[in-house]
Amino acid sequence: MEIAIEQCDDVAIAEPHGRIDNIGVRSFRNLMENLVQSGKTRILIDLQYVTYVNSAAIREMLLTSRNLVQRQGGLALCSLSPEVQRLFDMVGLGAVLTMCKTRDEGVAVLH
Amino acid sequence: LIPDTIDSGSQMPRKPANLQYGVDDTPPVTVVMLNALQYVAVLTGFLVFPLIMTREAHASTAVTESVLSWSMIVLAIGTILQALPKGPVGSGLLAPSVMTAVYVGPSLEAVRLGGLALMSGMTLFGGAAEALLSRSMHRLRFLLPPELAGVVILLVAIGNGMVGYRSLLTPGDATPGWRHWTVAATTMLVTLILNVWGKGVARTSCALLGMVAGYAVAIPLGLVGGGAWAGLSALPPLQLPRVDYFTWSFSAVLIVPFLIAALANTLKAAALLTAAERFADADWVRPDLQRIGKGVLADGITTALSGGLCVFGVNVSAASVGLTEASGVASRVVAYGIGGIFALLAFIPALLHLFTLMPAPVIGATFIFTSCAIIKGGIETIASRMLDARRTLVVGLALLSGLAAEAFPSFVLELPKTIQPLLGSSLVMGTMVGFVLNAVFRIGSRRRETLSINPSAIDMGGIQDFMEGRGGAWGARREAVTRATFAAHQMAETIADTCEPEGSIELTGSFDEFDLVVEARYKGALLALPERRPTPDEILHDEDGARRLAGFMLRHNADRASSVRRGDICVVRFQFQH
Repeated sequence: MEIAIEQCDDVAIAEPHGRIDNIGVRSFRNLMENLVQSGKTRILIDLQYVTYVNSAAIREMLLTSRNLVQRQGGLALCSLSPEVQRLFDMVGLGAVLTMCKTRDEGVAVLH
Repeated sequence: LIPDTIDSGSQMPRKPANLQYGVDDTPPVTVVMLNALQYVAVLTGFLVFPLIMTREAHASTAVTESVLSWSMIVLAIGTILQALPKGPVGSGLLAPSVMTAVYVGPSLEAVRLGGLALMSGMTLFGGAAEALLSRSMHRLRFLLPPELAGVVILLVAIGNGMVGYRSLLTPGDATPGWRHWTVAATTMLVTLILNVWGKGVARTSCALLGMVAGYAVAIPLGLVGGGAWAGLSALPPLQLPRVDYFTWSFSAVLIVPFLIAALANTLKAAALLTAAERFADADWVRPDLQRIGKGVLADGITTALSGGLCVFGVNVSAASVGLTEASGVASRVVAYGIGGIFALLAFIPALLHLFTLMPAPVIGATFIFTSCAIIKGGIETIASRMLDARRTLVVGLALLSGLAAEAFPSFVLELPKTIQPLLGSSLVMGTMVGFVLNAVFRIGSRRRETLSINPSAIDMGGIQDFMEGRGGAWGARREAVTRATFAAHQMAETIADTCEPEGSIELTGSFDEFDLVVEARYKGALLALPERRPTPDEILHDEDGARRLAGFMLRHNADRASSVRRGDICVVRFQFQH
């Protein structure tokens, strides 16, 4: 799985491509840890090119979100495909994970 | 066994957003009456068929008047019978009856051989045959998969649209001139403007108001014949239809052509009722063949009745199905209104004649308009399913065969008259080709297939290809396949990670049109499917937090889920309603 990284003001935008499965989640975890350790406190994950998210990936997102909140920052998800959106709706973690329709909205929320 | 099952909620029909009044709604009286009038205005154009028969039979004017009146009574009964919501007869849908072109060929032959009596006797026979065929509809589920139903809906639109274009481009002997086009443009413009920008009654009655506008322009332009007006004033204000000419005869020579007409009528009624059902239910996924069978029975009884009352064969009207979608009124109460107006027209000949004078450009523009709404339904229905090579061919060839019947009518006219009702209608031709190909392509198509998964090296792409390949072969809904694919992926990963499987995981997919099932069998620890979602703290800190989240997601992703141990084999099963 490839993950593109961009910076928009003080928000780091991660754009994974493909499936975040048991293999993909390792790259995802490493990236999140690196971003947090490098001092990023606001991270937006653009999920428009993600076709599958497993429970381990959701756990990583929760963990990163909690770490960032402790550092006065936050994590948001944006541009979810209908299928991935359905999974997040089913899991019902909307109160813990911020979800936005577009990248611009995500950046604005994190500001 | 550990019962670990979730039942989905009940599936009540839901009114689509574009419908102002659903099948079970009761609109205000104004809406009901204007809509009923709208349908009657569209349907009376088809009275030309019984008129052709009486002319061919050299019937007197008095008999012709009575045939028209009895036709109205038959259409009234047929429309109401079709709309009956309960009991063994009727689909409960707003799907009015109309004189059908399917019976033109055999009826003309019958009139030539034995006059109106033979036509009546054989139509009675044809109706009875259709009623008999309707009893087998629910057994034909495998023959009418939704993508084929989509093709059929599309063919309804094409056939209906072609009737419209024929009225516009070849309206009789004369070449259409500027007056013809002015009337057509007026009808179309008024209808379209009211349909797109109109509100309330103006929108729901847009076709009627378009026809009235077209009619109003046609009169000063001289497109409604002066002689016809004179004939109108000579008619009595009230008249009871006669029965003294009622006779019936039967001929073995005509059994085959009338049987074929009955089959064509059955297919056409089934197709149109499928379209009507789809337009009335936002959650429609497949034809309800029990209901459609009851609708076809109503159609057969009405045709038999038309034979009994010495008029011409009837069928569900294609234009009406489009009108329902375009006007946004699907209430069955409108059917009762239509029945009332038809019954009234039966006794007021002058009023009935006013409807039959409808100029060709008005009919043409209205039919083209009603076809547009049906086209959307057809395309959406086809696109809702995943199609493999076989199903692509069924859809493509059925559609092209139907179009060929419209494009090359001269080819059909050279064929034996007996089979012309089957091959002459784009709808019947396309449906038949689709039926046959669908049945043939079922040979060698397995409804249950298994994939072996190596838990130490899960090939996620392989699972995706397996699920999508099977989904396409089975013609499953894309949405159901997507959910099932998620289940297969997440299940394989979770079993491999947490259930210590010995040997391979056997993943089986099966499909029976009502359910898509994904099942995994393996040796190891049983996969738990908790009802309650673990809290964020449990997900993050408990050793089995992520696994419990996976089980919860799997359970709630499916409509039914179970995880049981049978001997030393664990069976995890997810069912997706289809």
